[in-house]
Amino acid sequence: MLLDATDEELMHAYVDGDAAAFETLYGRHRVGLFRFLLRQVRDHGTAEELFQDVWHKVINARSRYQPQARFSTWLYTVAHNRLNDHWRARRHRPDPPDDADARVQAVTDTATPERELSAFEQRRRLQLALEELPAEQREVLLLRLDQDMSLEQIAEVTGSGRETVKSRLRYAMDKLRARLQP
Amino acid sequence: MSERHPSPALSAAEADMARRLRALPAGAPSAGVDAAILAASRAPRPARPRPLWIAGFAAAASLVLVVGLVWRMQPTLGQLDTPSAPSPHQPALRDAAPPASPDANAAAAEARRERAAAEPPAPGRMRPTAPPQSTADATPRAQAELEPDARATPPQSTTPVAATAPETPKLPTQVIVTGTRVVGPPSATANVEPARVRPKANAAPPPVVFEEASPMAIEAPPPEPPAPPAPMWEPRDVLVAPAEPAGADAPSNPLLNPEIEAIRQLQRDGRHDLARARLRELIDRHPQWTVPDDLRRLLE
Repeated sequence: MLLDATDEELMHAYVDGDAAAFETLYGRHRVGLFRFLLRQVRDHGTAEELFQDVWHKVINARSRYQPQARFSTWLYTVAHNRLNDHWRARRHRPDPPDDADARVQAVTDTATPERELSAFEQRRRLQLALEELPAEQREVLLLRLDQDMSLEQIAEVTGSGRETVKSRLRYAMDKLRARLQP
Repeated sequence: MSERHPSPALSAAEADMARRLRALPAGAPSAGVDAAILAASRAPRPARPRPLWIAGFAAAASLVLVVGLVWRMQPTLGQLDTPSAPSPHQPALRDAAPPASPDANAAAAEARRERAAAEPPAPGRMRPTAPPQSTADATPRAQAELEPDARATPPQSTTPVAATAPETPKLPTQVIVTGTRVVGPPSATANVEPARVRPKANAAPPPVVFEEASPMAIEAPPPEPPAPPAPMWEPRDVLVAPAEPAGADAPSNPLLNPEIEAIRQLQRDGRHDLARARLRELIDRHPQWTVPDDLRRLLE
């Protein structure tokens, strides 16, 4: 029964005291949330710390869960806020330089036609391209491509307007395509 | 990630990029983190502290309730605090109260008199009142004891409360009516000098009159200070009996009178031996009896 329930139903069951419902919910979002955090902070230990904090916030704030909101939206909103706290505390997120786009265009492509890129190399280049993205664009890209969220959901999670989210997503896609072009 | 809420379809470019992203090595939290989170989810929800305003509101409501009750009970307490006679438990309160004006005292006394006149005396009912007492018979010590109360309370000696004076069926009551004054009834509450109501020695047995004080007798005496607080019952006061005369004219036991007269008759007839024998027999049977002087000569 728990496997067929929606996230919201599971959360309601957990609020009513069903610990097994939380385990099912946790299993659904465990990998996705951790990957979202890891790809932002790029450090496994820090990602685990933030991951644990996010779930503790969910547990402690379960009574304030609004049933009209989707659970994934609520969960990633909590994660977004925790990430912002992390950036603010660590000052790990400097503003992107004004010539960020030019720098991306100027990146020399080490891949020569003569070199057959392995799958490993392609993944590495994608990882580097992600890291070079501004944080706002990377977050929107990950929420859209990795978490399958709609623009409206991303706007709700990040607290931004839908058009802002759309613009950030477009910029991020362009940079990735440019970075990954052979 | 939730299959229950499928998001809008990705464009071709987005789908291709999503496929590449998912091909990246996906990290996962360690088992320790999983265990810690699941353990935290099973922990009981911490009890929320009760807001402080609830305690404050409860205290304020209780205070208002107490003040309201006291305010509503004030008239009742006022009536209870004005008894018709002093109570042994109230001297401190009475002394602490400011003295009332003479007009107010007179009005209060009048009101009490009317109220008592309207109420029939309840038989056997004890009220904490003292009957009027004669100041002429009171000893100086009693006068000294009466003075503080006289200053603090209005004179109440003429109050009809005396009409409901204690009728104590099981206790002897001595009421001496002298003119219009009721003198020296051993009141249940009065604690004046017991000698005041004790008959004089060597006097004839005092007339014991069991009668209730008439309204006229109550109205007659002038205002007197109330009796001082005293215990409800004082046996040494109420159980006063006339002293037994020890003289020849007052045989202690009336039952002995015929035998004594018979012995005297034998003495007058000159039958001294027989009279002496009967006298000795009488003394043997009643050793506590005091032999009269006229008969004592037979024993010499």
